Amino acid sequence: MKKLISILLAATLSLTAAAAGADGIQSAYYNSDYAYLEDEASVYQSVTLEEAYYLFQQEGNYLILLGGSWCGNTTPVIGYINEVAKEYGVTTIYNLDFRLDGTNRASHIRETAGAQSQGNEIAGSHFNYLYGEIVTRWLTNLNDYVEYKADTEFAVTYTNAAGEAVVVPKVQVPFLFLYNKDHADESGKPAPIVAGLELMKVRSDFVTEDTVNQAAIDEYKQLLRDHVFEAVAQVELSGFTDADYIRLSYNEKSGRELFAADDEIAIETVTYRQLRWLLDQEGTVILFLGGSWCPNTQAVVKIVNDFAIANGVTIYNFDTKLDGGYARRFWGYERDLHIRDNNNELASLYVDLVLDYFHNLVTEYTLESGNTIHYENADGETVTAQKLQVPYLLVYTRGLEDEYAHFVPISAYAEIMLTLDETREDYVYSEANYTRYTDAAYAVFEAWAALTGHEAVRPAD
Amino acid sequence: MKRKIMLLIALVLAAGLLGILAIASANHGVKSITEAIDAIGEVSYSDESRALIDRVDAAIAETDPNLRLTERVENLDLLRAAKVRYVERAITRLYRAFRDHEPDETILAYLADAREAYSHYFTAEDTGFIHNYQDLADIEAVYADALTPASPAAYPEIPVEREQIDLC
Repeated sequence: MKKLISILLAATLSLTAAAAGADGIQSAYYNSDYAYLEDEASVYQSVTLEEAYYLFQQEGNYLILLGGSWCGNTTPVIGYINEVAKEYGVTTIYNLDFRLDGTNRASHIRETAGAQSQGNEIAGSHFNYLYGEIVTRWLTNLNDYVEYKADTEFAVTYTNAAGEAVVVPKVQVPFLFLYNKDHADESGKPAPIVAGLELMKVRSDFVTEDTVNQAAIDEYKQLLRDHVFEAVAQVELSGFTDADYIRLSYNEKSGRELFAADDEIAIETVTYRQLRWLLDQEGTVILFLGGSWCPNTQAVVKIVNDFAIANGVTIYNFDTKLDGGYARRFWGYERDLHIRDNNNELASLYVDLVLDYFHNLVTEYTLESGNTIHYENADGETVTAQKLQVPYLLVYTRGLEDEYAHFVPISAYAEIMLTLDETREDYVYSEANYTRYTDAAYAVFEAWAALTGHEAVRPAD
Repeated sequence: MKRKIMLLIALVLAAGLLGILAIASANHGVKSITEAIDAIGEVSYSDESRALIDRVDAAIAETDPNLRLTERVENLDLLRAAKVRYVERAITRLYRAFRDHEPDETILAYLADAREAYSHYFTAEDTGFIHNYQDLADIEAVYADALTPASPAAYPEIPVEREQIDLC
């Protein structure tokens, strides 16, 4: 464990205490990331792509907003949606962004394959089946609510796992809708989108310089009530938390009950954009990099969660497979959207993340080993970063520097690959392996505790 | 004879006295240098630290090398450590400015300071003593163009058709 010589930051509180509320970082993130949302306790809860896949399969009623903070149509209205939601007593709107990095069009999966932007092919379009399958499987009546219907030139065509071309409507964002997978219309036809509103507005529709067009705001809010919230008022909304997702995905993919129904889970998932936002915040956080697709992560997720519970801290999980590996595992597609893969068109997302934030990253695969992740930038230069293996548990403090002003934000880490297979030498619950992992995890929590004024605790066995 | 014996005794006494004085002087020199090193204290990249370090160097320079006083100075390693620290602080100041995207003029000024600090105490073979020397080298490489003196402007070409030249 690196010895810290100096601490630049004045704040030494855990981020979860300083910036987050009871819902983890969600409120703080939305309040910060959306310029026209001024509510430190908004209703928004982000979901990763795979989390949305699981959400769409749950029973119950869910209010969902498709859109992102990059979008000039979503940002002007997100505050108004929040206000009307609270009028109706809504506590959660799930937000899914099809721009998987939350920023660049290159990561947009809601495009026909080969679609271009400024002369460049949109890399995300190679994974447009991740959008298409959502529509085909779950948003089967999307056509009734969108401008770009399936029979228009703007529709999205994707190639499914069987090699067939499938055409689906292209939703524009923001799209706010009430969803119930079991809902049917009056004729009995499946209508999982119970109510919805696809309407593009811009900031100047509501505010020009310092002039507020209250009539336009009121009109928009009434549209929200008429098209969505009056339907919401007729049902009871259900909840789907990060803990629900963690439990479902890890149990399903491991084939074991890693988390019982009543197990407390202190792991919060973050999208790529949220992760970068989180790493820009003052304070200290514990990150858990890995995913439910990974047998090594499956092996230790319960242990890591036990440490988080024992120490009363939420840890943040980022999966380098932006699709969680779901499409390949369950739908037969050939590729994962894995940004930590040199063959992936979006590998730059991983490389830039490591180079921008993980300055003192220590990995088994050193740069000299050649086992690195790299991409070619717009200037034709190769940009390279160390390849970390998952699960990777670390404690991160923005701005922490050593005596030579080098950023050393990672104070402790654990990069240990074990398995749930008891026949193997790396079986996690052999005494030696278990001790090795729990000692390493404890070191991470000890470092967190030292930086945040807590006392680290080992969970009871 | 008696006079010769007296003279011999006087010479021995004088030699002894000179020896005692020399030893006392050497001890005093060692003590002065030792105290001057102790006085350096915590080193920063500052005029004060530099003055204290340079004072020790000056004191050593004034001693008779034949007396090899520096071999008797027990805290001499602290002098090198102080010089290392001073140079490292200068490079850290430079690195922080570079890291934080300070204006180029600032970085170039700090770069010159750091290089001067290094050259003042160390030679080209001593880079291994400085833990963050590579930062200095890397930043110098980034600003190589700015550090390279501009080539003098080329002389204008002399016209080939001399008939067109006004001869003086």
